[in-house]
Amino acid sequence: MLTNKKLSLLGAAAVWLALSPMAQAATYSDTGAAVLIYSKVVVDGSRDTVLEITNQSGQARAAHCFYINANPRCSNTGGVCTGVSDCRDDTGFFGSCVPGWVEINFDIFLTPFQPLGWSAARGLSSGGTGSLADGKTPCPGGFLDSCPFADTNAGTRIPPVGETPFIGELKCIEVDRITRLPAECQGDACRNDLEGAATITKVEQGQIDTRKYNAVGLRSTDFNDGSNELIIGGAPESAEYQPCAEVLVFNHLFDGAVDPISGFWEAHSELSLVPCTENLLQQDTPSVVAQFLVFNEFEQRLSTSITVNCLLDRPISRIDTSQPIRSIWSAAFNGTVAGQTRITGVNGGLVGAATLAFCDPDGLECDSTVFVDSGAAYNLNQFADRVAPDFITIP
Amino acid sequence: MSTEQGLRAGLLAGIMVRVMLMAGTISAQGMVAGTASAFTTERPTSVLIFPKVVNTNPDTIIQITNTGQMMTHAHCFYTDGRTVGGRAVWQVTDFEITLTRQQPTHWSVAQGRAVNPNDSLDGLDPGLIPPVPLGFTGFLTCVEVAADGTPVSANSLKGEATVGDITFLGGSNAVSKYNAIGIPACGSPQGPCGGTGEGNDGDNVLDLNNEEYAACPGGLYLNFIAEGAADPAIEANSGPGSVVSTNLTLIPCGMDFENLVPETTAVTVDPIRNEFEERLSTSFPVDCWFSSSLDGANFVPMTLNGLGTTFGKAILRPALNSGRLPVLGVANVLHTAADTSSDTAAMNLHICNEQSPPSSCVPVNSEIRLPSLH
Repeated sequence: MLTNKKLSLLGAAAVWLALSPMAQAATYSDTGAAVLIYSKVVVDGSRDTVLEITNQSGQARAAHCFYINANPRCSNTGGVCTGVSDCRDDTGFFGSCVPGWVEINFDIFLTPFQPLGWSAARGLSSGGTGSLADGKTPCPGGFLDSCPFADTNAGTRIPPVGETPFIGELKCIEVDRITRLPAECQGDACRNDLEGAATITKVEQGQIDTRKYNAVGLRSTDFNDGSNELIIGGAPESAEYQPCAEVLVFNHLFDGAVDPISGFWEAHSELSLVPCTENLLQQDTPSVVAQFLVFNEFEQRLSTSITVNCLLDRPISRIDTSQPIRSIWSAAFNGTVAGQTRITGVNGGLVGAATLAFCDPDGLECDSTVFVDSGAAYNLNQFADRVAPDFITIP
Repeated sequence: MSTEQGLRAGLLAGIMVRVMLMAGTISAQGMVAGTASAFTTERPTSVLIFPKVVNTNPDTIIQITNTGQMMTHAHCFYTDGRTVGGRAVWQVTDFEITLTRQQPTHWSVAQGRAVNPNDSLDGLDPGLIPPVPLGFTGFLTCVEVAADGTPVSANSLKGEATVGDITFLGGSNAVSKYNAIGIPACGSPQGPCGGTGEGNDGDNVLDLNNEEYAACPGGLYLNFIAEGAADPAIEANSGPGSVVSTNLTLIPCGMDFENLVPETTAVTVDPIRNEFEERLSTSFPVDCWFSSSLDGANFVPMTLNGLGTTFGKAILRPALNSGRLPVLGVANVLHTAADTSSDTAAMNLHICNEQSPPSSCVPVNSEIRLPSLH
């Protein structure tokens, strides 16, 4: 039996639910921001990622960036793995392949309006006089610097990613160049000056596959206390950055669907998701349950869930099963070509990007481990703000 | 008040307020978000614009999804952006689609989509979608409407376009994908346009003025690799000789589908910045639909020789105080290795919101004029 008190609480909860923001989401991949999240950075024998970051401002700006290495590792050998079969040690025993999370950080100092780009495999070092062609910063300072006086990249040194193969995330936060923490600010002084993009290029068997997406940005609110804990969303009086989206909306072709253009290729999609909350100080591996609602063109709905540990990067038809033909993202199962997937982080926000690839139906499996004939990356859409805050804690 | 009455009253209050909010009212956080550009490539809106739609082998796949919980309709317009004798054709073909709640749909522009439950395209056919002629180069605009064709402010549409140049297995195949540009309806002062937002008057003129629909953004940022520069990733994997080329597709932020008058404008690309913070500029006209690589005479400052560095940044906007329309667009980047193998990757351009100099991206009021309602 419901008591009056419980009823009041229920009513209050209903009103609270109603008052929660619904219509807008506040991460941005198409305008300047204070925090950039590149949700997929890949380097391996045939792939490299070119990362771009631009200062929109007429003032010099600094960014504190973090490569987050999400390579899974063998519990016995420590080597990078994709499955248990990679974890056979010298004695013939198999270890387990467990999620990894290793972070390295660096600073980027941008001159006014400066675009900067680098190869994730090579990085960018100081002391050069040219551009990316020689892997050096363009404005190193000193006598050889051809940039305007006092505008310099001095202090910028971007390391190559820690190992090959590498899969992970890059996060860049606009900071004060002295403290390496977000600048304490009020009102218009809180800046959103960074924008970025990533291009993943694969060169193999005489063919090239390039996929480009914009970095997802978190924009400042009108307040920042300058601490090392970035508060993303939540109560308006304490939020330093606009909230992550409540729902990510992912439009896709179902895996195995016949490409509508050629009529013979198969479509395959991959999804990359990273949590909004990350503790880069304590090196806590973030973990968020992602809930997927999948709609086909008959408006039929299916759902599944998976835990996102640090980074989820997977062909969609391998999210819910190891047998793609049985997946809820399988075209053969759904019976339609196009689909919509709505992704909700149950205990934390998520950001991400997606890729679409077309490949030979008679060839090998069409995922990132084998050559894909041609693909494209794109940004996810989003709907509504998360009510609960997310946190990024930096050293 | 009885137990049941209390429960119903509480739930009803919640539902009522929630319905009001979904109609356009959002919290303070949403208002903060609204201070950024209202045009978007990542949120559901009431108008979708696909700036680059081609049937020239490459073909284009259009995907549109209803993200709302109610059935919705859209009135769509293909606009042929080709020119004949230097004049824009501006041939418009329109059609209507209906999407059930949360329904995704797709079609190839070369083939269109018939209403035929027995064809190979499974799923609920959204409507009779005509194919475009071979050689079509132009854009697609879809406006969310009620069943009678009256524009509505539901902000429930999202879309993507996949431009695929697919020849044969092992051939030169290039696929690129971008998100449609969305124009949100304002709905109310608490909606995506901020305090000036109002409801939809339902007439055939969509006012892009931050009252009925969001005003046009004052400019676009183009972050690019200099035309003719080497691709760092390809160079590392297959040696020197690679080349990057950027194709820019732009349309004016305003359309007249009633009088079939092609909109024209002029784009000032200023400033163009290289990695040394050096400043260059250029300008060019946009008649109806513009698509060009950055290797033309107008784009010398954006070539490797002109720019002097690999990476560049530019702002595209109308000349200050010119009264001209801003542009909307997408970039498609061709990466070619020394052995001539290649692929393309499209990207949405960033929206410039900085109204103060030197960016000077001041929003501009404009309109989309639909054919008169009957």
